[in-house]
Amino acid sequence: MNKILIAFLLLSAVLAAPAKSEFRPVQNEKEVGGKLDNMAKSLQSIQSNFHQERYIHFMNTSIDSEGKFWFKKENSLRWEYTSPFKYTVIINRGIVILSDHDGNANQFQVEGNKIFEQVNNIIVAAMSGDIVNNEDFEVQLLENNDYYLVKLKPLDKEVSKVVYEMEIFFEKSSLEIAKIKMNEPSDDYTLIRYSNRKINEPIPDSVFGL
Amino acid sequence: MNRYLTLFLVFSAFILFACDTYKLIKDNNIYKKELSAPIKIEEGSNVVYKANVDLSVEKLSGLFVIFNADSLFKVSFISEMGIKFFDMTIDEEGYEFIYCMEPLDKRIILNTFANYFTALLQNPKYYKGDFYYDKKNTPVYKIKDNSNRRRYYYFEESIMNKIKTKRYLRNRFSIELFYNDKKHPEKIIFLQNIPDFKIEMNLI
Repeated sequence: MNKILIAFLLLSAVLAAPAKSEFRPVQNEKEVGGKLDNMAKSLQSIQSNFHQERYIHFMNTSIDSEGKFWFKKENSLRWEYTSPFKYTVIINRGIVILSDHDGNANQFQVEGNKIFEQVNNIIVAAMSGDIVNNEDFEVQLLENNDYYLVKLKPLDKEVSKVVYEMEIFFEKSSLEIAKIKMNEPSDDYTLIRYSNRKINEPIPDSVFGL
Repeated sequence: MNRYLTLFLVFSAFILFACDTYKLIKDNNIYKKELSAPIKIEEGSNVVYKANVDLSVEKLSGLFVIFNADSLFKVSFISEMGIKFFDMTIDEEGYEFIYCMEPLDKRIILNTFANYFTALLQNPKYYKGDFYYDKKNTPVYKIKDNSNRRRYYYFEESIMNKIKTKRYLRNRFSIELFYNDKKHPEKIIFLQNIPDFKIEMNLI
């Protein structure tokens, strides 16, 4: 009987305790918002590895890929997939370069290509971390023990058809972006986790070319 | 009058050269046994192709994910960075687009994708057809699909390596399949002339 009672009490305690991953509204929103804003202002460059998980609700399956990325303010991005396929996307000064494993490269301007314009706006906003005061999104600030979570809902109707909500997870200890989740209206999502980040280390301009 | 005669002769010559000649293979059943869809996916599993899509006005690259859910094929086209272009389903009755990003949401583009994936995923056995030899003695399985379009499946040493479709006298599109000892075609190239569309898919 005692054993059952102890088991019941333990189970109750576990259920009653708030889950570690449960997010709640940030207590001091101004202070945290200010910290994230300062971090975004001081951010000049990021180099990192990434692991991307693309969940497709429609199929109940996910597609994983990984690679490296480089970002330099204001708007220079190199996104290089190394596995399971080789593919590079470079966005630099309004020009997009796409290159596949065969060395075939395609170059065009972001402006004028509707799809890429939408994609570019979302990704650069997420990468730069310049989000708390971003007028293009409705912003919600949450936290748990490990992360600050910034939820962004695009105000542009066209963009919100593609990405319903973006979740950016900042590590509390370093205020660095640990992962980004892009939720679509269909319950699909893309989760990108970053590792081996190097912040504000010099990146030569040649990285943003082929 | 001379003008009409010239037109008639030119038209006759065009028909003569445009039409391929096919000779019925009497003992069809030997070949029919081997008929299967170009991409065979086990129930509950998927295949992923990395693709370059050239739609004349729009050049895209991304991943085609094809999933077999109890003989209902689900096809998703997403960019490498995760942005979704479209979701569609295909079964024996036809196709349906569940979602499509706006710049692609045009009838001519959607029909092209639907015809292409229908040809790749449907087992030609579903339609009544017969095997023929073409001019080069290549076995060809010839059917009429749901939209009354003729579809020709070409074989080399019992492996399907090309699909062509025709409607009236025009070659509507062709699909070339390349294998490399893998279960699924390693490379697939789709070509259409009017309008100019090209899709190249590589298995990953």
